[in-house]
Amino acid sequence: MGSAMHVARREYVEGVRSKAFIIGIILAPVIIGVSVSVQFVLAAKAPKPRVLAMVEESQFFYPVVAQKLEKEKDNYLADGTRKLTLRFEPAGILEETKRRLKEELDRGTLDFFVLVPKDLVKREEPRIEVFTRNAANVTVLTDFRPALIEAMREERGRLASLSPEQVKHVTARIDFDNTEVKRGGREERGKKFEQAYFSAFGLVMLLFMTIIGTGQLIMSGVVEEKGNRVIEILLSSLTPRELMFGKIIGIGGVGLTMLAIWSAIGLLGLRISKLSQLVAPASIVYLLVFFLLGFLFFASLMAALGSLCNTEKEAQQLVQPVTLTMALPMMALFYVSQNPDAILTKVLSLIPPFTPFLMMTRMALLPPEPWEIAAGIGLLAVSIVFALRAAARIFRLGILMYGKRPSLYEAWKWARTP
Amino acid sequence: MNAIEVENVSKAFSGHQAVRDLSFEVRPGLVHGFLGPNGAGKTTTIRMILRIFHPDTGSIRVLGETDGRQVRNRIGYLPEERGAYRKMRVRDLLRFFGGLKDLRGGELNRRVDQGLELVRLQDWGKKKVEELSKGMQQKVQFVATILHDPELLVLDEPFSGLDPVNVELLRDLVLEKKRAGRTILFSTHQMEQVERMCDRVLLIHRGRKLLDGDVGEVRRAHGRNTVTLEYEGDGRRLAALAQVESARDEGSRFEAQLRPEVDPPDFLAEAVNHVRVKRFETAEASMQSIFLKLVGEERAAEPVPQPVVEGGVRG
Repeated sequence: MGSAMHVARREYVEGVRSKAFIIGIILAPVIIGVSVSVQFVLAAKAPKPRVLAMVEESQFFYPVVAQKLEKEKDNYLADGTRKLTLRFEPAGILEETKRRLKEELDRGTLDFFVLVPKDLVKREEPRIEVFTRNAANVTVLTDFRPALIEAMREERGRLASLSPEQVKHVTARIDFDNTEVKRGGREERGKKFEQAYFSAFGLVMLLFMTIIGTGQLIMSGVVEEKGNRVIEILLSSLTPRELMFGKIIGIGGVGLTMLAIWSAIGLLGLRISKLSQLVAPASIVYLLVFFLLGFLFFASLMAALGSLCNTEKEAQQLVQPVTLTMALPMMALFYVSQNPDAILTKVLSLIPPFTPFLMMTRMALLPPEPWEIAAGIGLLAVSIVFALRAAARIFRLGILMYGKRPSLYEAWKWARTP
Repeated sequence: MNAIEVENVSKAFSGHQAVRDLSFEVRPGLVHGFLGPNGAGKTTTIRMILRIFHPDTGSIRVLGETDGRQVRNRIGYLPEERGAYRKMRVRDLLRFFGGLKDLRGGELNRRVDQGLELVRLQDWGKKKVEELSKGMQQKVQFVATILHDPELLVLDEPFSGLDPVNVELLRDLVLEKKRAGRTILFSTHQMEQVERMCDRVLLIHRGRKLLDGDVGEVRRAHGRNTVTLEYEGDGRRLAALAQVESARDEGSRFEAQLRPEVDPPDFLAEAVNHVRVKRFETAEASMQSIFLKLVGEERAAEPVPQPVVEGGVRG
């Protein structure tokens, strides 16, 4: 065990000193920071003011809607300019008018025009046509749409001899406020699903990247030692088992360090931006626990596969299916976050390689039953024991094997030979 | 007690017999040359001595122990294909290798410094391994091998790829170890190294032992009827003479094994009729000619070897 720790110390020190580690430490928060601030900047940055022409026979809806929009705070940017400006356009000869407005769309002096039919108020299924050069632009209409609907309702109310107040009363919308009830009855108010989803997604991405990254590190380390024949010096001083465990312990330490630093930066960042409620401190503890478990499983696979390869290129080919398998739970992430209580979710999160990622997701959304967590961790722990044992057996033989890469079937046979 | 005792050892890799029924001993305090053509099984044998592989059959005793773990700190091993962690600093690398042999703390640092000085690389300790030339890396590797002052040094082609100055340096270091009572086993293809450095020699071919013994005795035994002459003229005429059993012509130097019944002076008398002889001596056979003769005889006697089965371990 002493020799294993000696190897572990080298792996750790070299790992933490490596350029990749330092770049990773700095880059990940920078990437996250940049993408968050890009969102802020984009949100704050004025979308270019848009112009919409309402085509009506006479100014019927136009003045009402224009007035409503004028009062709508959301239709103003920080500097007081309007996001959407309305213009009246007499219908005239409709085809002629459309042709003229289309030309304006082309020139860019107009962004939308809508055809408001004369009998809109009377129609059973009211419908208006919107013309624009780019359908994605319609997000700008979020304020226009309710204003027009409101105007129509008021008009219908007037026809039915109702006052605007009565109309408002009849058509009032219901606001839904979400409150998450945590275990033990604690209420958590005002957390939106999107927030919960993104914080869960963020944590799981972090977990995934770290596990894949450190696993790759194990593999390239093994391939390097095999390639430069350091392996022979090592094996004249320690057993393959000690070497493998040493590498796994050392690089596991590198991963933990990286996660700890990221978590610290992340928590600090959330605190500064007053978003602390997004990530519970307990999530960080689970993050570290699930990293360790997921890493041990993945790392033993990578050590075994690495020992079979002679070159980095060979290793990359061999590892691809494994990485893809690891990515499966990432694809199930959306389903799981939408259905944190479904049977399928429960079953998927008990499959050992998926457990760290899916349990982590569920933990952030709707914490699973304690027995589920225990069962997931238990199953994973048992598979880790098997994976490590099989990996040690493959590693022992693979590490000295040069020339043609042994087939996976051969490796499987080795794994079963004590 | 012998430093290494190999008894009836065989080892096969996926159908390829790398070592067959090999027995030899390495005597304490002596320098042993381990010879054989490429693919003869030298590296496989060395790896078995180092417990990197286990023999299929037979037994190996190293420094009196059959369990390798007991003696691994008393052996220094320099593998054939030398590499190192390219990104590590030289001192860190040496400290790591020293640590593997259970050296610690101040003692380890002291020895690392000493070792670097020994190979005149004291100013390179802080450099990364990849910044060193190949020869320098090789010297660093050698330092790693002797860091823990092992009783037994096993060196797989220690001189290959070094310039003459560094060959000289390394040879002195090895001989210094011998003077300090250490045992050395090294494999090589450079026969003159064997003649100049080794007390004993072991020659294997296709996993079998061809020769084993004291270098002087071996050379005398094979050199009874060996003559060398330096000449001017056409050496092919000498090789064609009836007295010559086998010959090696280097253009101005001619070495021949004469037929048992031929007396060397008679051969000289004949030779002067064909070339201008500048120098003539009856000599011990060179290791080169012994090697070529023994391996050549073996090759002639055996069928063409089958290609190594794929997926095999390089031996």
